[in-house]
Amino acid sequence: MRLSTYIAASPAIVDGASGRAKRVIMATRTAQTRVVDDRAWDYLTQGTFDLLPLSLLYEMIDIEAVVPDDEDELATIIRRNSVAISAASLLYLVVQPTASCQLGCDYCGQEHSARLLSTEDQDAFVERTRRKLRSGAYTEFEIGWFGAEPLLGLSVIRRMTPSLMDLARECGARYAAKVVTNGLSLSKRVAAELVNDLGVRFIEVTLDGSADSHDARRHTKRGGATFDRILANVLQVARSGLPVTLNLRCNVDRRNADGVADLVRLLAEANVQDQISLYFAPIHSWGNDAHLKSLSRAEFAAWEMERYAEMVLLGFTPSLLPTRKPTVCLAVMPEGELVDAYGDIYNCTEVSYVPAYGSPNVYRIDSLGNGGKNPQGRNRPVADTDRATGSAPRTVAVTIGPRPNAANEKRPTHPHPGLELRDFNGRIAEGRYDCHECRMLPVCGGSCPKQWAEGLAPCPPAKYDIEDRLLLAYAQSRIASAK
Amino acid sequence: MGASTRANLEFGAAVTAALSSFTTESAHPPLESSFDDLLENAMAPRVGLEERLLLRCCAAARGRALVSARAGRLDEADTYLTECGEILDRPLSAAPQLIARTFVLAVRAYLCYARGEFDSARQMVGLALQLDEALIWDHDFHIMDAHRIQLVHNLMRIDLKQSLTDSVVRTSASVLRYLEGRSDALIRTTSRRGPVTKLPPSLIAALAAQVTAEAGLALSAVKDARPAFAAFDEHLGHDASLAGQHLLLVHEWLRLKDAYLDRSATARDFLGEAGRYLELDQNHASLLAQLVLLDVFRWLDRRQLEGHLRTAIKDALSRGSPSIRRLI
Repeated sequence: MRLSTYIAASPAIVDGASGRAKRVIMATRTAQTRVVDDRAWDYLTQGTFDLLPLSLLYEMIDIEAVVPDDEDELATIIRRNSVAISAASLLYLVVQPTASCQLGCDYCGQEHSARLLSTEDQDAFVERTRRKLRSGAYTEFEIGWFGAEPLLGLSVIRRMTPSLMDLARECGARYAAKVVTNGLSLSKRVAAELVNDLGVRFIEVTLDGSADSHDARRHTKRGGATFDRILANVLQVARSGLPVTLNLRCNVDRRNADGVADLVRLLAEANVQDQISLYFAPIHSWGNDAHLKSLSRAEFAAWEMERYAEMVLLGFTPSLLPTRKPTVCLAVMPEGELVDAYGDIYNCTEVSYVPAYGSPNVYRIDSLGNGGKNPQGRNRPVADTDRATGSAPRTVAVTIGPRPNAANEKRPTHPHPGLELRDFNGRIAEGRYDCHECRMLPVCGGSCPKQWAEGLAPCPPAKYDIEDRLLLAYAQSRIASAK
Repeated sequence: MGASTRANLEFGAAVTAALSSFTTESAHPPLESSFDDLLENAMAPRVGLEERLLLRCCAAARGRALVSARAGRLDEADTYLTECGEILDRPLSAAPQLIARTFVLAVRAYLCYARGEFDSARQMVGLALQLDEALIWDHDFHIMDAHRIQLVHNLMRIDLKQSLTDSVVRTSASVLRYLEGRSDALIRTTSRRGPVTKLPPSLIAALAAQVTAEAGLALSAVKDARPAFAAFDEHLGHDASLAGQHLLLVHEWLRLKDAYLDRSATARDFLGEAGRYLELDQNHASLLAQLVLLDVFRWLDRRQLEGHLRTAIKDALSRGSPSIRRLI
């Protein structure tokens, strides 16, 4: 037996009560944490298991911190991921009811238009979904309403939802929906309708720091401020008592990193710590070079820990520790799909409406209009756009495939990048991405297949700061138990 | 105060006490943890550390398989059992190999059961029984007799699923006879025979309660349970003190069931017995106690006695074990 490769351990801390040095460890294979005596940790790392109490050894085995000597742990993880994906009881589909958005965020890679998903395509989508649900494999059916800005397509959501709910009922599946919105149209009335009538159980809104930071980049297409209205909407929903999970996402780069602490304080002063889950995300490439203004991964991790520590002191309970993630995203789900307002189908939420990916979009895997027989699909009118004037992010050429280096530069580009994403776990097993030797794989799932395919390394902050997270989580639990 | 009134008052007090301590979690008898401890103690002097750690790995994977299977994720359960198999492919000495394999077979049997493959489930249990017998008689792991009884209990569950009431009750009576020490054959098909005296009384009591409760579920699911219940006749006449105090609860339960099935029993007789049983069985959320409350509920129904007590019992049972809820 040996200590698993998939282990993270905090620095040693001294327990005030006993005076003994301890460590907080996480076995990422099971995402379970334990506090162990520092001496016991030494024995575990040295493999001198006969010096450890049997009960502790058994516990380490149970959480998969200790494994058989010759186990191929990567193979175990990939196999479990594959089974979880293929045997999933959840059918998750994403619909972009419109290609329109009020905002002209400067890091956005999308090109917006007034296009709504046609009634013909709405019906075709419901029928396509019926075929999936009728397999009987699913007991849960979830729709994600994404954008552009989905609330500008509320008429589509209203029209489609009853059919989708009926379909779920007919096939014995439980229905739920989520909305990812910029929040500008998320009035109390709209929120109530989404939750009470349209089956929405989860709403995510983005606020990029304080008003100044946010309005500098998440403005309307005419440059107008949006922070005050979005914040007001968020607070109304938070205080409404509606049975919905409310997430607040804050996209961070060098330009707004200093303004985020103000947002945290603002939310604390509004006393909504228990109603809102706030998390931070580094700005990533959206078929453009927006990621170039981001903090480095390590810098972001350090910055994020400071914010989380502030949040804990201000009464928030941020989710510090990652959980097991066998299914990284929509891309790996065999029947997971996103349909955009043109009826084109993708298996990634980051690629539709992005001109950098060509026309037709190289990530498109099908189209509602033709039942998948014509890979070229329909053309999108170039003039049909309401894009803001002003500087736009420069698009960059997209490389699909592994990062170019001397060893693999001769490897051909995959003919269907969208389908390549589906075999993400296989690519990890082959050693194509750094994930194959990363201890965080079980809890991040690889993070983002698309970014890896584009030669980027989208490692989550936890990869760099898991040790600090373990300590902060431990402190958080001690605070909670002291209350 | 008349004797009848006193009986009713005693019964009411006993039921009230039972209902007030009823929880939404069905009682898990300390069966598994005590069995695990006893097995560990048996292995300690005879199985080396490395092998015990490997057995633990297998147990952990097996546990995950069971959790996945119970949640309906059967493919995931298969994956974990594959991992068990990989662990067992490593060199293990005879007894640890048998111990690991019998437990894995039990989980495989459950997977077959969950898939409705009842014949395959019985086959797996049969193979596991043979391994347990080898462990008991060839390797002196007498604690595995408890696992053997658990496996027979699993056979009863398969029979119950297929509504084979007579088989469930006969098997229960056979196991009870064995636990009382009045037979050296666990069930008719057992290939080996021998006394069960080496299991601790508390474990015997828990096993007896388990198999009796399974028979209770089978009896509660049929309209006329009297013919099937006849398999327990010998236990009704049997002097409970001879079998030991640890089997008192089960024998009291059987006497109460007999009173319930005897439609000529007076309210004093039946309710008096029920009250006495509920006072005796301190674990008010045990399956046997829930079965008693179910019989009381049905007894009140038979006599068309509506009222607070009937409502309270129904309410409590609706929070009880899923097996009981299906019978209300």
